[in-house]
Amino acid sequence: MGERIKLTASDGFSLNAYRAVPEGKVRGGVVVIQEVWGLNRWIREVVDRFARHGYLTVAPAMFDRVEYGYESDNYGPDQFAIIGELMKKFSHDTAPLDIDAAIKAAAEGGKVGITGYCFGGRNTWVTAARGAGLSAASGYYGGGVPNYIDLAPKVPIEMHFGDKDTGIPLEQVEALKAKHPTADIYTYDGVHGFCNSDRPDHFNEAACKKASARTLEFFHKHLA
Amino acid sequence: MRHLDYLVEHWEAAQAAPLSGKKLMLCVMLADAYADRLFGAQEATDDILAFRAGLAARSEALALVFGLARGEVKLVTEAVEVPIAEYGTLRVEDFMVSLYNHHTVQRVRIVLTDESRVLAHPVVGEAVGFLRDL
Repeated sequence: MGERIKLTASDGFSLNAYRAVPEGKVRGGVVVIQEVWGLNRWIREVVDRFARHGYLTVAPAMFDRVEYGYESDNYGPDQFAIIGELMKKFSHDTAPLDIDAAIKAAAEGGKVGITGYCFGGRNTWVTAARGAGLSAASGYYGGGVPNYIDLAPKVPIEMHFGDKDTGIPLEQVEALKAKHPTADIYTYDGVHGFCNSDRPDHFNEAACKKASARTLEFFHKHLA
Repeated sequence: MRHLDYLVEHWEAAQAAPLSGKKLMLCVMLADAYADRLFGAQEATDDILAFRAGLAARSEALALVFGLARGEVKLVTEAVEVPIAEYGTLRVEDFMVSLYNHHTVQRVRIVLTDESRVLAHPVVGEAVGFLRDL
C-alpha cells in the first residue's frame, strides 16, 4: 500500500522514507520511527497499518546518514557487530533534522503524531520534548530512560513498556511516570519488542493489540 | 524452610530482570535475614555477630551481601561501555538499547568502599548458592 520516497532535511541531506496514504478520509499525519533495523518489513507494515486507520504516515530512514539504505529483516546476533560498528557514526544531533523532515511530510495529512519502537520509542520522547510541531506522541519501550527522563514533553504523550523487558528495568519506568505525572505511561505483560510480529519470540499479540488500540485512540483524540 | 524458598524464588526473579536493582536488593535483604534465621536454628554459639562473621569468612560473596545490607557498599544501576568486539555476546535487548545510548548498556553493580565496581548478580548468586548449600 505504501511507497518508498525521498525526504530532504533542512540541511539538504536527502534520506529515504516510506510513506502510506489513506484511501479514504484523512484523519491526520503520523510519523513512525524505526527500531534499530531500519525501514524493514515490519516497520513498513506498521506504516501501512496507520494509513489503513486514516493517517498519512511517514517513516524516515534514520540510519541513512550512517549507511545509506540500511535495513535488515535479520534480527539475529550475527548482525550485532555490523550494526554496532555502523552506529558508532550515528549522531543524535542530526537525527532531529531527519525526523523534522518526516513531520513536515506527514503534516500534509493535518495534525501530526509521532510513534516509534525501541530506538523510535526513545526518539518519540525526545522529539515530544522539542515540540517539533507535533500534536501527540505515543512511544514504545524506549530504552535508556535515565538519558531522557529529565526532558519534559511539550505535547501530550503516552508510553508503552513491557513489564518483563530485560533491557529497561521497571523501576526506571516507574521513575519516568513519577517524574512526568501528566504522561500516560502503561505497562504490559511483555518483553522488549512485544509489538514486533516478525519476532515470534518477542511478540505478544494481546499486549500489542491493547497498546496499539491506545495509540490509535490517543491520536484520534489529539489529531482530530 | 520457607525463607529459603522465598530467597530462591526472588533470586530467580532478579535474574529475569537483570537491570532491576530493586529486585536484587530484595535478594540481598532476604539473604541477610536468612543468616539471622540460621543463627536461631543452631546452638553452637549465642553470639549472632560472631555467627554472621563466621559465615562471611567462609563466603566472600556473602560478606559483600552483608555489606550491602548494612549500607557499607551500595548497589547502583549504571551505564557501562561495550566494546564493539563484545556486541555478539549481548542479549538482543541490551544490544538494541546500547546502540542509541552511546554504546553503553546498563548493569547493576556494587560500588565498593574504594569506589571500584563489581557486577552484582554474580556476587548475589554466589551468596545465595552458598546459603542454599549449607
